[in-house]
Amino acid sequence: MPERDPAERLDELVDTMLSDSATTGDTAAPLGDLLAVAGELRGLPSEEFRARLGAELVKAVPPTEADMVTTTTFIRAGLLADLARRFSGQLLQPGDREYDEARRVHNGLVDKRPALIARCRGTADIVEAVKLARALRLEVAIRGGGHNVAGRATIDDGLMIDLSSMKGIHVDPATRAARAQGGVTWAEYNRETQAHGLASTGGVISSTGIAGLTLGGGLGWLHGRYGLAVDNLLSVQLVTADGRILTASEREHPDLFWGLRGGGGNFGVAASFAYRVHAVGPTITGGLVAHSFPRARDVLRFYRDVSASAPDELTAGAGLLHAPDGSNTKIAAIVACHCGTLERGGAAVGPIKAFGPPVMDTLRPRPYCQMNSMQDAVYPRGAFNYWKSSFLAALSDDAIDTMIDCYARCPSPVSQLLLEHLHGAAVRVGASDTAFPHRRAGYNFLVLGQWIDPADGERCLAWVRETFAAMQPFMASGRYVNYLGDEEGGDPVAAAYGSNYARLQQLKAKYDPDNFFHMNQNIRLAR
Amino acid sequence: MVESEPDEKLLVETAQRDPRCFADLYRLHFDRVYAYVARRVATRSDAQDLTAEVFQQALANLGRFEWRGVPFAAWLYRIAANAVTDHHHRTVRDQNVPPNPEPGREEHESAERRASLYRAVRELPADQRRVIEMRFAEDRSIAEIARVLGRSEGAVKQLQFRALGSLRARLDQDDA
Repeated sequence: MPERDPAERLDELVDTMLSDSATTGDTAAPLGDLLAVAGELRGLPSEEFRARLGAELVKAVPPTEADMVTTTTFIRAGLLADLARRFSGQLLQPGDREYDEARRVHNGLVDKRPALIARCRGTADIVEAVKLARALRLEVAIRGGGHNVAGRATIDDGLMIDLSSMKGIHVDPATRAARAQGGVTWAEYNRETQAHGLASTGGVISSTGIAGLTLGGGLGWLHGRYGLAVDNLLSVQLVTADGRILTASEREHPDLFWGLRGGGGNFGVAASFAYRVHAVGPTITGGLVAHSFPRARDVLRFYRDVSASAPDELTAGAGLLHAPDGSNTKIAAIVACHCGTLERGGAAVGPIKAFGPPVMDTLRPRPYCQMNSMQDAVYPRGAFNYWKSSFLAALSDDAIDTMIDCYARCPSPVSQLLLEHLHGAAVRVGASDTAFPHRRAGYNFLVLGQWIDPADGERCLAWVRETFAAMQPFMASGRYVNYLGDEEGGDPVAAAYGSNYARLQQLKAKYDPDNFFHMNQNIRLAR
Repeated sequence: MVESEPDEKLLVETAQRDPRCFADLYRLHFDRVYAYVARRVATRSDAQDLTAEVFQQALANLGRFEWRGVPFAAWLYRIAANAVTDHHHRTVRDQNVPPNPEPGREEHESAERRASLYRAVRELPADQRRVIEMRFAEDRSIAEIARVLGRSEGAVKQLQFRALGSLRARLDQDDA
């Protein structure tokens, strides 16, 4: 800008320099020289303008096929530097030392290379990351615990908004509430809440993130007594597609709060969750009983009977799996957790321990935290995973026999067929009270394809598909979105939500009309 | 003197093939274009508008740029000079403003020197850099800066003083 009156604008500067040089005795730089520098600096461009113009130029260029080159180039072009100035977390690009570790997720089959990983430290970082993705027209994936089996936590050439550094947890025993940030895992959450003898329903594998599991519904060991993870939600702090921070609860944005309880990551980035917590343990009654595979039919029939009459405090699953001792022996197992007093727990699990008798019995009083992590080793990070699941219309004798036939052909010692029992408080909520619609007592069937040696891949994929096809006659229409894969035909998400889907579509149109958040169990906008 | 940046030819040719690689050229030349324009218009907002216009024109006409031994920066200065002239025609009542002459060596050097200063600001320690940006890019008073940064006015003045000293030393170094 033209010189106007340098003295007028630099009066204060002169004053400062004179007084400072008098007090410090620093006469290294002649005052006139410093004034000249100050004069040259007038009109200094703002970093905000430099970044904004860069972003506008990006938008002015029509997309071509060289997306990856473009993306990385423009990130280099100063926009990233501008973000880095304010960002309190880490920004990682290909070539950065921590990039390869940061891009890894639980499922070893998923090997994607984001153009940028924004490892957020707080809600403000999430807002910045969302705005950057908008400016650069990058697709976005959100990583909490990184457990989504379909690999939706990451994305090729896009921006991974990584919440794994957001570990804040605050438990308030007085109000029986706990608030936790979106990068917390169930192990971390349980440890803090259990320090107060409190808990809310969480995942059965403790390295799972609270965010993904909760947003999709949240089955867990406590759901019979206290409902699903979503049934314990008090509020969610959400960063929306336009970068706003909203709190959704029964009182604030209640429509959004309804959708967040089961609707997955469709409406924004969940920065934190507030849960209602309950007195649990710290010692509960839980563990696994195992029987030899030839007894699988009797075991699964027994499981059906015992689970159907189980009290709310007892939640039990059953599975066909391999013995954890490395012997490559197939077994049939029941895993149970009773969250009430040890006396009631002992009585409730008595028949399970007595049945058979089992070849292995670890069902006993144990810390609730241990219950939630006892299966972690069976699902190691980096193993290859391919899952398919569906609720069953009924766990009939034929369904049981089909499961056993299929598992007899299982090619991998770490693949399993699992049954999860939905009951109690989880099914006393109305199907339309939250977005999670599966509120009838019954069983979710999961073909958990898992293998360690890449050479087993083809055989395991085929076995999962064949098993799922064989079980089709016994399936209900409902699907648990947290297990939903990407290669399903038709619109499995619509089928999964059933009668709640139209309302979810309306919410999607209201809170994310551009489908900015689509790396998820995507709710398609109504046409 | 406008020096040709290393690999600049490659950058230009890459951007001509894929316009989105223009980002590298933008990053490289933003400071000099802004420095050139800012001294020739009355307000910060005009400087921003014209800088944007220069880069938009450069992006749109990139395909027409040919290497004839003239640095890319000289081409940008030419666009900037025309943009400034057009701006004055639009804003000054007297429509007989003479066209801006071809920017000469002296004008280039002046803009280069200021661009170098802008780059040096980015290399200052974070606290000094913030003070300089708030003072000169955001036109805030010492009192305001002190409030925003949660520091005393004396501390802000000290930071500014040290920053100006470093920048002056940097300019001397460049001149040498």
